[in-house]
Amino acid sequence: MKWKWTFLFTFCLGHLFSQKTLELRPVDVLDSNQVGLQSSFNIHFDSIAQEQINELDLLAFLSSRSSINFKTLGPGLLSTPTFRGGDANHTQLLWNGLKINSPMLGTIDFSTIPVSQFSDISIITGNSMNLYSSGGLGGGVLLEQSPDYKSDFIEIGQLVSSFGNYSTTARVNKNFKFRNKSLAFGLMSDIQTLSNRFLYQDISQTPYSSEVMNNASFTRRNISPMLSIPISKSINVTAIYWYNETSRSIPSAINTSPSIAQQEDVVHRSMGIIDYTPSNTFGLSYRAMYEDNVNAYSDTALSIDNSNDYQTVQNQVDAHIKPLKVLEIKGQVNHSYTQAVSKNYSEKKTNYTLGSMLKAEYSILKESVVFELGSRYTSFNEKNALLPFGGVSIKPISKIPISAFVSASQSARFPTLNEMYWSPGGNDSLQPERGQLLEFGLNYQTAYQELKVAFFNGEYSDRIRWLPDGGVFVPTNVNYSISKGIDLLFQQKVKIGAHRFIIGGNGQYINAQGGNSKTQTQALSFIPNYTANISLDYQYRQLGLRYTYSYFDKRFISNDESSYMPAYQLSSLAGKYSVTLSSAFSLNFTASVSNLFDWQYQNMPWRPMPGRFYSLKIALKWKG
Amino acid sequence: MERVVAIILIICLNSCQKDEYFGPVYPSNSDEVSITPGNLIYIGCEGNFQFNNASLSVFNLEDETIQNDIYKRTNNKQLGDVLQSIIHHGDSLFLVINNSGLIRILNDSTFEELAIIEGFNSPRHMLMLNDKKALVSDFGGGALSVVDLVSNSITNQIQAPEWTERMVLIDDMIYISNMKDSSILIIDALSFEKIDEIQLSIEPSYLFSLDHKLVIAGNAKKGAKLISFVKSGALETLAEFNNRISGSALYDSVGYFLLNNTVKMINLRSQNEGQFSHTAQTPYSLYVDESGIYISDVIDYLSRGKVLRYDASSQLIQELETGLIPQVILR
Repeated sequence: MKWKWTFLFTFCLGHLFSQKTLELRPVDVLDSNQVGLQSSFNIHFDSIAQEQINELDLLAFLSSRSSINFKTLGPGLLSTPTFRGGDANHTQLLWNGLKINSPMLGTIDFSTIPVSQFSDISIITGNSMNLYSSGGLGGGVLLEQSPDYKSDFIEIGQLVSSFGNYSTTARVNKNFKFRNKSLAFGLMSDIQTLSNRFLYQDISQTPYSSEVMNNASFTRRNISPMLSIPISKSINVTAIYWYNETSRSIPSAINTSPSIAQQEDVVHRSMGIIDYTPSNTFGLSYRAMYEDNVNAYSDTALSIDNSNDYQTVQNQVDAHIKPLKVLEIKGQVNHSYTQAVSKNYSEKKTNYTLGSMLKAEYSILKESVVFELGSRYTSFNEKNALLPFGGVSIKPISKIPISAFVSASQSARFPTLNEMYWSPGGNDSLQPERGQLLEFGLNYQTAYQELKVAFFNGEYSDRIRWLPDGGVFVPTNVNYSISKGIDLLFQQKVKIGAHRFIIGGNGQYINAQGGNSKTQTQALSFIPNYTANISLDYQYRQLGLRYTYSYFDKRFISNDESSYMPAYQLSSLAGKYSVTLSSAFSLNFTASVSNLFDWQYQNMPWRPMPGRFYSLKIALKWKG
Repeated sequence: MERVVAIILIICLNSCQKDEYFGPVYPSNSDEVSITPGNLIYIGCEGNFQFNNASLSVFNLEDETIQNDIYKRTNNKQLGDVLQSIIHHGDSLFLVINNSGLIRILNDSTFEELAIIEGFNSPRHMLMLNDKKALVSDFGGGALSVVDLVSNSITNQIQAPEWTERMVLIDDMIYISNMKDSSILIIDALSFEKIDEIQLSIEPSYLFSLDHKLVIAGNAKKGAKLISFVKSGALETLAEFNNRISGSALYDSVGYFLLNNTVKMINLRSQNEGQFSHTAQTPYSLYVDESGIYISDVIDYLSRGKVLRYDASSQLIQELETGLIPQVILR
């Protein structure tokens, strides 16, 4: 009972402090920028490009800040998400609004995606996903990248870590004039070289022995220049190129025969964006992307030497119009074409996707009640889906920033190229997986406090599973699943004199069941019932400290609820200190201890994870 | 403040788990293994690739009970990653653990580990040439391994196709499945020199010896075939199936073929045919002897499997719950 009062007191205290003027610059900013539906549970992180982010990849960033769970084989190794009980290919990753999940696999490896390249990162649930794309039965992650017209900076950083791990970053944002035009240029790049020679305990037999991780090196070279030009007052043109190259050695699991497996991925992405915004009530945007993706895998022990390559062209037009103060209409038309080759396809394969979306937002009673209603239509290789979505959010008392929301949607994931054409087994008569999601909750938000809670219920049918057919596995629409749970997010900012504190966190409870029919379900494997992250930030003048704690519950690894991976908890502590060298130059030192209490754990069976490790980053920043 | 300190202490104390087991937890009966030697059916459970959860189950025909996870319960360690095949020779069981790259030798009644043969690339099947020598096929390594059963070590590597599978010894000649090229490799059992290679129109997944002839069963691009091969080099198609097979066995001159819903039977001498329906959700392998017709059911590959036991008149007499992915059944 005392805890309830303590919580209430803290909340009230925070509200009291929030009446004062304070300018807090936290490590992460959760703000009110609207992404997704107002009537669903979404999280938005902004101003990332200007911050010192310790995490080297999207996996580390999201797993310490959200309820997206990851299956990871180890540092620098394959890491795929599961969101609200969905498969890895039910979480869509969008770069400036265009999908970058592999059309061959349906997934993307989050350990290959850097963080500091992006200005904003948002996590949206399945109900909001129809605004952007199909396929997000669990939800999606939106990466936003563009040069900033308001700031000039150059930053060069070097990170040194335990186990022979290094990372070099360079980030530039510069505004300049060219023939009387203002141009914004940005360059984000990083090179990671991880040896990953960490100690781990081999627990396959007693007595346990300490071993050094071998054959786990990882290199990532990532560079992304971008240029924005305002052609006129209402037209802005942006061009972005993103080169992402990863090279990794893939170690064997503990107690298995050592193999010599190597994976090399090279990705070129080019995007052009034209924004036409003549007024606040009308806007048009066209974006096009070309992606060339080469994924080469070799295992000399098993005589595997394969390359899976694809090229994708995407075009998308977005429009919004606000004919009335209380009515806003958004629309989208997109098209994508993919061609892919693989040694496991009989020939070059192609697919076409055509999609459109229309959504209306109507508010009444001085915007205290907002209705959102829309539908997405997707056509994929002559298969179609009409996916309605909508919701209502109600703010009952205008002076208190609390709102209640409810939303629902239908979603669909079309089969991947591998599911259709893999030889042997590919099945080109597969139907799309279908989802129905309902969520409702509360949202309280001020400049200093944020509390979001949502209850969700998702039902998914025709899930595709690879089933044996006389020794050959064939993807089949067979599975049903249901996910119910609660998502929670909170943040409290407090300032006492020059001391600034932020306590924040998120948590999820989920009961995800699946099986061949509604009447025969069991817990889905690799989905923990409970996950939680708590962070405490402290800032005093040039000094910043951040403590994070993550809890990852036990999860079954078999479909009969008999085998499981134990729960684990991780803590980390990071300190940051800025030295002002001149009015323009500063030197930032960041020191961190990850896995502070040296917790021994495995995320996936027999895949060692590092114990405590140390990192030191020095970054020189020029700010114009 | 006390609460804060208490929470920090709890977290710190919780972190002191260095000597605790933190890996995957598999269901296991902690009871001591107590099996009456004699009438035993051994069931090797493959387990999931890279999950290190292969296991051995033993079905006692006397009291009709099954005991699972026998190896771990006896030897206090995991069996390994992907149990591919088992040979019962003398009073020893030779368990070929594919992705652990080794063969474990156990006593066939106490199940205590006697020795380990290491150094394989990706071993698949073992063929006993005599009491002192065996041959082991391999996936990916491009070699067959000759094993000395006295020193329990690999003594020789013979160059071979990338993926060799089952082997049969007939009249001093070894017939070996070449899975990659869909052919049968024939080598001399004494010199290990290649004699011939016969191209097939099927994957040679199952090899049997009948009346000094080689009988091959396997899947074609569509359906499956049963082929016989004689020394003269002639191939004869004995039977064709519209659907692919997932298991095959030969017992008392009758070939058994496991299809999705049925088991087909063909007497290879009289050509009499028969079939019966089975109830396995995901049939995976087949074994037949005088004690019954055993069909393994791997359910969804991520749940504990079953072995369905039918009698000679095709009546289901028992459902045995096993470990994950029951693959090899033998006596």
